[in-house]
Amino acid sequence: MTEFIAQDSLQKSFIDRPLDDLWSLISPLYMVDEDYWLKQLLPMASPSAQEKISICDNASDLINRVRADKQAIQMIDALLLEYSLDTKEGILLMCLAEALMRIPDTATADALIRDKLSVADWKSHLKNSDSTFVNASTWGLLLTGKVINLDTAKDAESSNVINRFVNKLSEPVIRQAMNQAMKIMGHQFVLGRNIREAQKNGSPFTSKGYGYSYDMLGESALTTEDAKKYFDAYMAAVESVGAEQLKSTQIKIAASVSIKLSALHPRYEVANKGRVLSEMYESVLVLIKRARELDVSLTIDAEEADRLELSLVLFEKLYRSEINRGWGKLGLVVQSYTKRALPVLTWLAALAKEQGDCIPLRLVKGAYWDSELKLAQQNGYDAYPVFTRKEATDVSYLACARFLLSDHIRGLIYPQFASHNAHTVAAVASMATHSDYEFQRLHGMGDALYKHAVDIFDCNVRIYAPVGSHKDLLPYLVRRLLENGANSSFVHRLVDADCAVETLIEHPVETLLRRPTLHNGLIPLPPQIFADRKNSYSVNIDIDSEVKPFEAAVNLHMTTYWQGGAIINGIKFYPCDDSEEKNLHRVTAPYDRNIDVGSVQFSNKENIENAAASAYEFYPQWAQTEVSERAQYLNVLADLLEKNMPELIALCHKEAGKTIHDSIDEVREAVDFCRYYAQQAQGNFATVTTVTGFDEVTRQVKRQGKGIFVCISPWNFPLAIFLGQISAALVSGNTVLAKPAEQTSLIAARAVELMLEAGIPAKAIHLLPGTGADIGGPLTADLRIAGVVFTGSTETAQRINRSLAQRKCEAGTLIAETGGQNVMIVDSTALPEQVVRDVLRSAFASAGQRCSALRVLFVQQDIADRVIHLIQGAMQELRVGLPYLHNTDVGPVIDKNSKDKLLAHIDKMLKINKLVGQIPLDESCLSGDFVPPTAIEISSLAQLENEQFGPILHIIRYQADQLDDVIDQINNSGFGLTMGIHSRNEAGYRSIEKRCRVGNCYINRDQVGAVVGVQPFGGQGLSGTGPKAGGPHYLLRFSKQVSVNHSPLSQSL
Amino acid sequence: MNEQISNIVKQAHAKWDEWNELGCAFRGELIHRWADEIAQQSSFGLMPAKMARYQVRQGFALIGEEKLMPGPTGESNELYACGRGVFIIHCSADAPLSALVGMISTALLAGNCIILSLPQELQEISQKLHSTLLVAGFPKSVVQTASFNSAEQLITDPSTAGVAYTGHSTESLKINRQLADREGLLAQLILETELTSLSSITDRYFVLRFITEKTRTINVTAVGGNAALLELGCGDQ
Repeated sequence: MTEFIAQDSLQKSFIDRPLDDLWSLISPLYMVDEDYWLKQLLPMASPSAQEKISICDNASDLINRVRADKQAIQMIDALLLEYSLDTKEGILLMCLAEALMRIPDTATADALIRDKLSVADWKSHLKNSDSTFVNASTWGLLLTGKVINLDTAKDAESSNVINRFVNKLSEPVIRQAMNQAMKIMGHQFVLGRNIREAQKNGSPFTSKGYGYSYDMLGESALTTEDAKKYFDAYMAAVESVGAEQLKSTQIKIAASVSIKLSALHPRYEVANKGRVLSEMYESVLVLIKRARELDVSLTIDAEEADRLELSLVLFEKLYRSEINRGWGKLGLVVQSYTKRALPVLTWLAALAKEQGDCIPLRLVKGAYWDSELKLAQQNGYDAYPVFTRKEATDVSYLACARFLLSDHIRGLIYPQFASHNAHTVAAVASMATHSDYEFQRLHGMGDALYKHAVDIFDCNVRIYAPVGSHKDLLPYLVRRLLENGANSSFVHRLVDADCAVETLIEHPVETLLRRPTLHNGLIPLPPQIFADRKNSYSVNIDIDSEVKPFEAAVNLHMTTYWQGGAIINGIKFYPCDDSEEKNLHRVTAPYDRNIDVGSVQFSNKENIENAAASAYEFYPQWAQTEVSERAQYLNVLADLLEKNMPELIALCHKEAGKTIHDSIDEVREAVDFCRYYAQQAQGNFATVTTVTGFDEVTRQVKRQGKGIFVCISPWNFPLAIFLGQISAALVSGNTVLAKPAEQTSLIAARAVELMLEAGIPAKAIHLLPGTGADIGGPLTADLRIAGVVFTGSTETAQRINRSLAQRKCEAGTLIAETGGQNVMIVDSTALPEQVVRDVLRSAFASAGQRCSALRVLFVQQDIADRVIHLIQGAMQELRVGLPYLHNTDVGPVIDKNSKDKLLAHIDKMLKINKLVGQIPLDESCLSGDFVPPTAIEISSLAQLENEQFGPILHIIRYQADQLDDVIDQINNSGFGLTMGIHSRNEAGYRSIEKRCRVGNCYINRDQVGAVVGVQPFGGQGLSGTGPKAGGPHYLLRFSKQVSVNHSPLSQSL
Repeated sequence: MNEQISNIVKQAHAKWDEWNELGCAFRGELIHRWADEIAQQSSFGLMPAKMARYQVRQGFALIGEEKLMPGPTGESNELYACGRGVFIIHCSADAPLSALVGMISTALLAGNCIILSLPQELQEISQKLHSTLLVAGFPKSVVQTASFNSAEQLITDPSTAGVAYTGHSTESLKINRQLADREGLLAQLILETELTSLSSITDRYFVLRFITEKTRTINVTAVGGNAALLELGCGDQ
């Protein structure tokens, strides 16, 4: 593969290379080393001596003119200036704007207002801003009369005017005022509630020579119905813009329409590439056809980095279609913060050259920076897909601009530079040797900047204008603004007279080179987000260059026939010619029972006795082994697991029926457990500690293991929980007898093989596959056992507890992680789209076979119809099928027994309750154990007796004033594992979290996927004993404190 | 089923949430006051008061504050401790008073309600412990006593969180079986059977036996903003 040398792109011949070659250069740069890549971009972004002078002069001129302009600060600029997003009030104001208008019921709306207004100091903002908009839209003008009266009143104890105001006035008045304020804000952010209104409101700027790009922005579509709604809106916009253009002769720059692909299809994602390139392709094509007939340019918006390659594939297909060929007005957006921006531009230029149709291209800096970073950290990728400094993004922007403005690109790409930064505007204008380009700005932002830029540079300017109902759009825009708070900083500094002009016109190349490193040293790379251990590694299967080698490696193992059995003292008792028939078990794939995965020989009595004897005999020696050595074995094991990830993933698919994402997560969690417990043991056990006892005598103590631990693990996390239990027991100094779930014995055997390979002494870990009755029974009755760690059902945990208690010896330690009846509470401040996405993932991911999975959704009556309708629609877009396919969302359940139980429950429930939705199973599910994901509306939690461990979601409506009752229902169930809350009311969700007796509570997100060392996991009550796995107290339960130099306690206890 | 005993358990449960929410620091204060009270009991000697203060010191270091867990940007993860519910404090007649005080103070610090059910021989001590607890300011429903005869009923009540027992293995075996035979949640049996070295009670991490842990995860980007990253800025690092 050839390497992409950034500066080569400036050579004329570069884009004459075969299109495929240029395409192949894009993906490998997905998360290229930031310093290496910036070193390549810096020369392209650096100004020539002459450019430097002209940028400097022009930028200062521009800034000075804006500052001298009395009308410079308007609308959103002014709002951001007063309520800067780095102030508490700024954030709270935006939070209110984000949620208030969608709340249907007054009680919840009032509570939200109280929640937001009572914690900030609004008074300090009241008279700061000269802008009537700021004072009006916030709490000023609307409330001024009364507020000022209150303020001058004698009881001026509280400095918080609004607080008093809120308390004194009746809530309906406040609510009305707030809603009014939100409406005013809506007007500033949104050009019009529909396309006609937008065109009308835009006419003053149109007549000044500005162009418009209209965008029907909003949430992504979750359902086909919503996608259709957005499609209709886009079509209406095209029609309306087209009609306007036909009748007007004065328009200097023809208006265009921007479309967001995620609004046009419920599954716009790489996993559903087939649907994107067929269904979505067809609908965009219809838009292009009509747009072309009316000569309305279309721009395809850019979204998350994972979708970039997919969007380009789709773009190429659309661009090459007969309907588009010869048009030259189908454009797209490229984000300069993505490391792949420049190679994407070269490929697009070559595409345009090959076909001969110009591509309008909006170059933006990028709007999903925070979430890109978060995602990369969560997923443990090697690096980030985006730059980590703002000035690095600016450098990339200017390098891209240099390419776009070079002579050999003229006519191929029509560049549209979107920026609100005076320096960027001046730099682009200086680099340009022709005028075939335009600038773009957001409606309501940068008015003054561009007013003066037009005077200086005589440039073309287009306004990017959101169109839509305020109720839908304001929340969306505010979220974008909050996510991208950093972008507002220039607005501040531009109009802040204290900020020297020189600091604003520093070239980003200079700024970047001044930094100690080109990348941002304050943002650790994803593998390094934990100070004391390495984050587990993962693959981004949405990126071509990442997924191809991964798939090839996994496929190598998809035909393997595995064998497993007891492993005692390192000796494998695997199936062989003289295996006893009754202990031999055939393993088939849960998704297709005709597929043989391997065979297992279950343990016999002799195996059990030999293993127990060996573990008992070896315990003293293992307990004496240095903690550092025990920890090191786990670190080596973690590396081995990563090295063998492809095989383990293949095994997870075939033996456990896990999907690709679930399989990757499974290995990652196992790796994290090993590294986390290794690190915890080093911290807690390694040294002898001097402690002062209650009797004021100092003693030297250390921790050591308890003896033999029996680890009984479940099939739903056959590697992660299996190894989590064992590694905790081992590293704390216990020897281990491991009893895996019989359904997933092969994975267990492979894991123990790797443990031995890692150097763990063969006498410390023994594997005893078999049934609970055959293996668990005798072991838990054995006097040599010090403790049991168990994950599974509450009933089995009780049986184990009784068995241990029947022994005539010291009480054993039992650490049990058992079932749950996990709920999620959603109030009417929540955003339905976010809720539904998180509900679907929480209830149906892993076919609902997670301890943490959502079983019962409590949704506030006032938004229940909307939420349930969305769930119905979104469920229809889920795909149930073969777990190893990328487009499968839900795989099989573990076995027939489980399937039958779940189906029986669905039948029983549907006799008296209403079916909300059920995903039909297609022929790919015929030979496997599949359960159709099902949502059922029920009337109360009491209707459910036991946990249903599968893809079944129950929904209960509640009235806002019944929340206390809901919490009582949850607590009275006795279970307390996980819980989700969706609410924008902080005081509200904090109070629910406090009162509900659950182990893990997740707020405003899904409730599955606890991460080791980040979200220690485990429940209370019927859900388990604790301590939490993956938490700082887990290992302590596997160990006891012993005195090193025994000094007796003082007399007179 | 003795109704009086059932009522004691009910009262304890009714008070538990409130008690649990008061926080470790507040409860630690009360235990310190209690230590002052028992220090004045000449028959008790000095050790029990020292034990109570020791448990507060050890316990507070472990569970006094919510622990912020590290993790990806855009999310806050906090781990904190709560009481498990209602504990029965039980012992043999020869149990050292310090051990008993250790059990009581740790159970209370962690946020549990307790019911003292001590042997007949220790009735006087039981009364003194109880009255000093009340003088120190513990709510009545948080610290209650029940007769030794009622121990079995308390132990087999499936709503109690567990038993903290100081004494001998034979008795502990029996209690363990009684607890294991219960339906419902797995009850905790917290034992001190080494009556001279008190090795369990003096374990630095002893308080962890009396707590349950909660993890609170908040997606701070849900409304868009990610303050953590904003605050970082582009720094000079």
